[in-house]
Amino acid sequence: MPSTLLDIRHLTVVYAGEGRAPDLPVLDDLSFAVDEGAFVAILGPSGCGKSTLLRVLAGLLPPTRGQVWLAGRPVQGPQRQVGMVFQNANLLPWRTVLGNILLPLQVQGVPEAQARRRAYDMVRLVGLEGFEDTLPRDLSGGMAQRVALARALVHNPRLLLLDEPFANLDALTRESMWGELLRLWHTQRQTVLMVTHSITEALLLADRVLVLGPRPARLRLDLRVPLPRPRHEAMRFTPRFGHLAEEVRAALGLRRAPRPAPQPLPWDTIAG
Amino acid sequence: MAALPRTFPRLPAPSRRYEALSIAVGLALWWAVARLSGLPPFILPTPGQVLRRGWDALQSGLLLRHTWVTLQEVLVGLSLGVLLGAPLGYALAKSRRLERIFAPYIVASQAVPVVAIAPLLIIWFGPGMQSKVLITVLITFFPLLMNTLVGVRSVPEEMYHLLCSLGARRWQVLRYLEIPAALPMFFSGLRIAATLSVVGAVVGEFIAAREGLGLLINEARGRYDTALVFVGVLTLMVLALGLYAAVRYAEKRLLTWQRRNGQAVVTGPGPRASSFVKEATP
Ligand SMILES: Nc1ncnc2c1ncn2[C@@H]1O[C@H](COP(=O)(O)OP(=O)(O)OP(=O)(O)O)[C@@H](O)[C@H]1O
Ligand SMILES: [Mg+2]
Repeated sequence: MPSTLLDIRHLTVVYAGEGRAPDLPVLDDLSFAVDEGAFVAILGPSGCGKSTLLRVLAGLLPPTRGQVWLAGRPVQGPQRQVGMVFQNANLLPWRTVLGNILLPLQVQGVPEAQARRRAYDMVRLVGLEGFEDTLPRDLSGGMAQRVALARALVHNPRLLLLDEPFANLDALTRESMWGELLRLWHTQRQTVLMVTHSITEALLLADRVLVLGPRPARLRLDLRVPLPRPRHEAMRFTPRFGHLAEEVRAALGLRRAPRPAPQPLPWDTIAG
Repeated sequence: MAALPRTFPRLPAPSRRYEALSIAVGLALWWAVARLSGLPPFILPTPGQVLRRGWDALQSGLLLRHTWVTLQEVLVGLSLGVLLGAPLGYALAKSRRLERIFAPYIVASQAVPVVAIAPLLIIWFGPGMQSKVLITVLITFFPLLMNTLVGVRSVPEEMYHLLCSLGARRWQVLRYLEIPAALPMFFSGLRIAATLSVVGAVVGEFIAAREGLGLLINEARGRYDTALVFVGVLTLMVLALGLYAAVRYAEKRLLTWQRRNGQAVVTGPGPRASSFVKEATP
C-alpha cells in the first residue's frame, strides 16, 4: 500500500476583493488525498482555480479555510520538497541553461561543486548536453520547457507541481514532451500533480484524473485511469480510452461527441 | 507597378570610417568659416589657434588643474546620485506608501530647474566643491531613481512566485532576481545621469567657483580669450563622452545576455561546457 503524500482537507480559498470589488470565492471545500508516487492530472474550466490550488500546495498562498498536509505535516509556507513548473517556462533570461537549473540549489545553499555536478546530471537527463551555456532566448519552446522541468527536479523534490506545462507548445513538441515527462517520472519517482486543459494529455499521462467544476471549484469527478504502462500515444485510439474521455467530457459539462458509424480508415484500405 | 526587390535591402554594417569622415568635414568647415569670413579670433578662432591655446593651457598646468576639479565633482556627485537614487528607487518600487510620501518632493525637485536652485545651494554650502557635488547629485538622482523604480516594478510576478516557491529569503530575491532584472533599466538611467552630471557640475561652477572648467570658461570669456573658451568646451565634451563610453562599456560587460539589435549572437555548444564535464567526471 503506498502511503499518502498529500492530503487536502476542506480547502477553501477566497480572494479578498480590493476596494468595492466583492470577495471572490475560488476553491470551495475541496478534499482529496494523493498517494506517494502517483501521477495525478487536474482538469477544469478556465478560471476555476487550478493555478490557485497549485499555489496553495506550493505554500505560496495561505488557504482561507482548511488545511494541506504534505508528508504528514501541515503546509505553512514554501517547501523544499516541492518543485514547480509554470505555464510559460519562466526561465531567468540572464542565466544560461545551467544557471537556471542551478538556481534552486543556490537558493538552498548547496555547496558550489556539488550543485554543479547535480545540475549537469539534470542537463543530461533532459537531453540538453551541449546547451549548458545557452541563454533562454536561444532555446526553442520545447527546450525551454525541458530546462524548466530540470530546474523543478534538480533539488529532488517529493512533489512536482506542473501548471499547464505544455500549453504553449505546438502539438508535435507537446507529444514528444509527454514521453519525456513519463521517462523522467519513471526514473525520478516523484509524485506529480499536473494541471492541464487537454483531456488526451490527462488520460495518457496520469493514473488518476480530477475534474474541478466552475468557480468556486468543487471536485466533479475523481477518475482512476486503468490504462497499462508504459503508455504510448496510439492508446488514445482504443475504445477504452474513448470511454474514459467521454466520462471526463461529461464531468466538464461538454456535450457528448457524436459517434460516427465505424468506417474503414483510408490507410486500412491501402494497407489491406 | 514597381517590381518588388527579391530580398529586403539590408542596412550596411556601420563603419568607423564614417564617423572619422564626419568629424573631419566638420573641422574643415569650421576652419573655412573662420578663415574666409574674416572674423577676428576673439569672435571665432580657427581650429589651429584653439589647438595651440589648448597646448599652452596643458603645459602650464592650468587645464589639468581645472579639469581635475570638475572631474572630481562629477564623479563624486554621480556616485552619490547612484547611492541615493538606486536604493530609494528600490524602496519606492516596493512600497506604494513610500511612493506617496516622497512623490511631492521628487516631482517638485524636478519641476524647478536646477539653475534656479543652484544659487541657493551656493549660498548655503559656499563656492567650493561641496555645492557643485550637491547640484550634481540633485540632477542625477532623478533618472537613476525613476529607472530603478520602473526596472524593479517590471519584474514579472511569476518570477517572484518561482523564487518564493524555492523558499528564497529577501536578500536572495534581491540578489538572484531583482538586481539582475532591473539592471538594464538602471543602466539606461545611468547613461542619462552620466551626461547630466557634467551639466550639473558646470552649472554650479558658472554661478560661483574657485576652480573648475566652468570657471575657466567664464573667466576666459571675460578676457575675450575665445580660444580658451573653446578649449574648455571641448574638454567638457571629452569628459562627458568619456563618462558615457565608460558606462556603455560596463553595461555591455554586465548585460551580455541582452540581445543587441540585429546582431546574431552565436551561442550553443561551446568548449567551456564540454571541458567542465571532463573535469567534473574524472
Ligand atoms: N492574486 C489574485 N487576486 C485576486 N483574484 C485572483 C488572483 N489570482 C487569481 N484570481 C482569480 O481567481 C480565479 C481563479 O484563478 P486561477 O488562476 O486559479 O484559475 P485557473 O483555473 O488556473 O485558470 P486558467 O485555466 O485560465 O489558468 C480567476 O477568476 C482569477 O481572476
Ligand atoms: Mg492557471
